[in-house]
Amino acid sequence: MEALLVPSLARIDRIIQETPDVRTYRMKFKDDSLMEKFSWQPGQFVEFSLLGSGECTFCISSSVTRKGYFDCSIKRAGIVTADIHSDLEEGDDVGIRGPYGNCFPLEDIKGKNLLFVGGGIGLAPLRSLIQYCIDNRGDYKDFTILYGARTSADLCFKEEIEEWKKNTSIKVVLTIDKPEDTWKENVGVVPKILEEVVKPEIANTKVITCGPPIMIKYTLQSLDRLGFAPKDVITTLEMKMQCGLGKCGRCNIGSTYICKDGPVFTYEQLKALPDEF
Amino acid sequence: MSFSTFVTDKNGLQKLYEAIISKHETFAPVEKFGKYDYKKVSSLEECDPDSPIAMTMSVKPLFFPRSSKIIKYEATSAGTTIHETEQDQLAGPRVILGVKHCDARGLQVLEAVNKWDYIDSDFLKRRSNTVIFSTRCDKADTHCFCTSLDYDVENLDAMDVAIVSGPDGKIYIQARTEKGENFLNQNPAPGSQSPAPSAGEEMKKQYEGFMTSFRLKMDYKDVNEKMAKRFDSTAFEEATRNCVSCNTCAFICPTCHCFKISDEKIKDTGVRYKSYDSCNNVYFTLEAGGHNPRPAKYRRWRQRSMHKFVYYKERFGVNLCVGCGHCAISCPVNISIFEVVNHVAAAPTEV
Amino acid sequence: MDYSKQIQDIASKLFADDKIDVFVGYCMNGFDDNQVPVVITDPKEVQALVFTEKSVFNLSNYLKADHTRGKRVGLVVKGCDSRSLNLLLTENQVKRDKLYIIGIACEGVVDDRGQKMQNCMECIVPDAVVFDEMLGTPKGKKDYIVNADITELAAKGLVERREYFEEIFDNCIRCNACRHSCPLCYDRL
Ligand code: SF4
Ligand code: SF4
Ligand code: FES
Repeated sequence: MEALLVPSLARIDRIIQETPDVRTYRMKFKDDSLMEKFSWQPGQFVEFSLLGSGECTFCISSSVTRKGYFDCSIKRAGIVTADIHSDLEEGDDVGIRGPYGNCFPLEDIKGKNLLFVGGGIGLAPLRSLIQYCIDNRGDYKDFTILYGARTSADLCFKEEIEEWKKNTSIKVVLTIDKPEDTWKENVGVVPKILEEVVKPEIANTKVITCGPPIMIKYTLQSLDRLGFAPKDVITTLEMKMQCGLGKCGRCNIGSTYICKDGPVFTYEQLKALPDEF
Repeated sequence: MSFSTFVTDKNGLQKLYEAIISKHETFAPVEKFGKYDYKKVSSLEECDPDSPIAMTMSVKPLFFPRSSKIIKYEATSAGTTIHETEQDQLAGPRVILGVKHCDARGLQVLEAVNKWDYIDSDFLKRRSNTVIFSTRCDKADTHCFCTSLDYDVENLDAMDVAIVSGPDGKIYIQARTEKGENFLNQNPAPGSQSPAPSAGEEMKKQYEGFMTSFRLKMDYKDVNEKMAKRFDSTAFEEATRNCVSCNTCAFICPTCHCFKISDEKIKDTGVRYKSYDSCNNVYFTLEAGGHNPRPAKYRRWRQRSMHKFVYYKERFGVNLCVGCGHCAISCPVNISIFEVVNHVAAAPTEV
Repeated sequence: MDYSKQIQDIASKLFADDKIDVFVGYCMNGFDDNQVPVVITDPKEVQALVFTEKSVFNLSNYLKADHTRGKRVGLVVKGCDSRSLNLLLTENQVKRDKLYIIGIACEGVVDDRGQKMQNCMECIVPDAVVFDEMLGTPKGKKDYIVNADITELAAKGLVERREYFEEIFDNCIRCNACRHSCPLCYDRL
């Protein structure tokens, strides 16, 4: 019964403590043939469940080009995520349904300059695309990552960022909101650094952004000021979802199903939606 | 393909019902505390296929249960196992008697959301394995407005067999789908005959009489259009001020289909349920981080009414309301979707 | 029991003296002889207010709603309503000095069919316990009688009691409506 909603079991291989309240869970399906077949596009999400606590929606934060596993990066926020953080250990089983949703417009961004703008946990969905693009680096021109967080401790994926920095074909700009003694990089909120430090090229550039609502709001404004066309700005929405299948009605904004038509939208598409996100 | 019509009388219809109940798994409205709910029956005495519309719960739970098990599981230190739940009790084949026209239409409307993209085969199988007998009402209730909506109540094909009353105690039994036609061929109504040529005329008359009994009438196209332009109207707030967010309206509605998934675990074993939810529920869109895109009650009511009269129509081409009036009947403070949407449609556009 | 006129007058005066922003009372539902709660912000609407034995709904529920939060509210409470209001007050969910409470010395209310409610027959505190103004003649407290069902339940052992509740909740469809519309729960409307 309710075949669409039955999850498959996956085993947690590794837990990486990214920040005090974000952990990345690396897992694979217990059934090897399932893992073999499991394929996703950057930007898609899964329904992740801790059996006994409930189901939550998380984007897959790793790329399909890194074979044999997938990651979900989870911030401790509500009841289920608190349970996940306190109860889940390496070797434990979780339920997974998916992948669901649309993905970043991989065709549209080919041959373009890429500018990633992330804030806090918002780097998680971008990371899937960043890894994908790094693994297909030849398909893209300039590659810039602007990433900010409240404090240096709140930056996710620190080890990986170090690797990105070593990669000479990628420009990485980091920022934190307030100065810290040992911090050598930029200080200031993301939109400010975007305008004052990154000063991106507009022509032939696609911007991919994700972060807390307030950051997105001001980032979109400064992208506007810089002269980016709304159709060249791509973001992914963090709506509350439940089924991921376009059935339960939870993610509706107007006649749009975020879980099916999204979660990835261009700024142009977002502007056409009623203001309910 | 045109389908057959037979004429009989009350007695003949009763005999048909009795024959069906004795031969098939049959569900029909059964009374309890003055309300009728669809239950499995083994004799005609237990049930009343002519139950009054206002007192009869929707048949929807026989296709989309109020609460159903998704999985059972065991999670111990030795690992986790997921078990299949018991067999689908609603998969049929079965017959349902006494479904109201609006309610049958509700199932038809729900097909759209259940078969776009991911296909909910459970829902569709339950419907395709069911023969629905639907009786057309003779008189509208206080809150009914089915004839004001985007379907032809007179010639509806949402049921497999329609029962329509004519003059002098005549009762017409009409197949409305191929399934209904075949079913009637295999289960003929005892003593029924082919109708006289005047049958069409008589059924039309019954329908016209029925039409005059409506207190509520509206032009749904006008409402669709006007609501689409009034997202920012204060009328939503005015019309729904005394709502207590109990969500009864959604649970009782033949077309509401929002659900939630929840876990219930005692010690090592647990069950995951799919159960009804409503966009009127303050937790519906509340995100784990505390952000809620619809924090105020009127915004949730706006979603509810716009989904029914604008969004679903945009997406699937039909209104997500069949005018059964159940929401208004069951609401503890008598809020009626009819009044809400008409109040909004009548409001000025500028705010 | 008909205090419609009195309540209309009090509400008018409260609006005229700028003592309240919102008045919560009862009005006719517009299609039969039953009543529904009404939240009035426009003084012109007070003429619609009624109060009879058909004024069933507990209005203290509306103190949790958006249109009354932080506002100065006038409302009508019967004995039972006033006790749930008292709880909201005690637990600091609403502020007493923002309320103007019209208490009713209640004679019992009736259901849709005109039958006196079972609860009212067993009610031991029919007079409002918190009010600024009282309508009707207070009858005082009746002796405490323990409801027979409760006596029976209390006599059960733990296992039996659990079975009893499991049986009752067997019908539960997990809609949580009881929580959403409970006058004692803090869920916002
Ligand atoms: S919204 Fe009300 S009238 Fe419309 S289908 Fe649902 S219960 Fe019936
Ligand atoms: S039934 Fe009435 S009070 Fe309950 S949520 Fe619906 S409109 Fe509000
Ligand atoms: S999450 Fe259920 S419809 Fe989108």
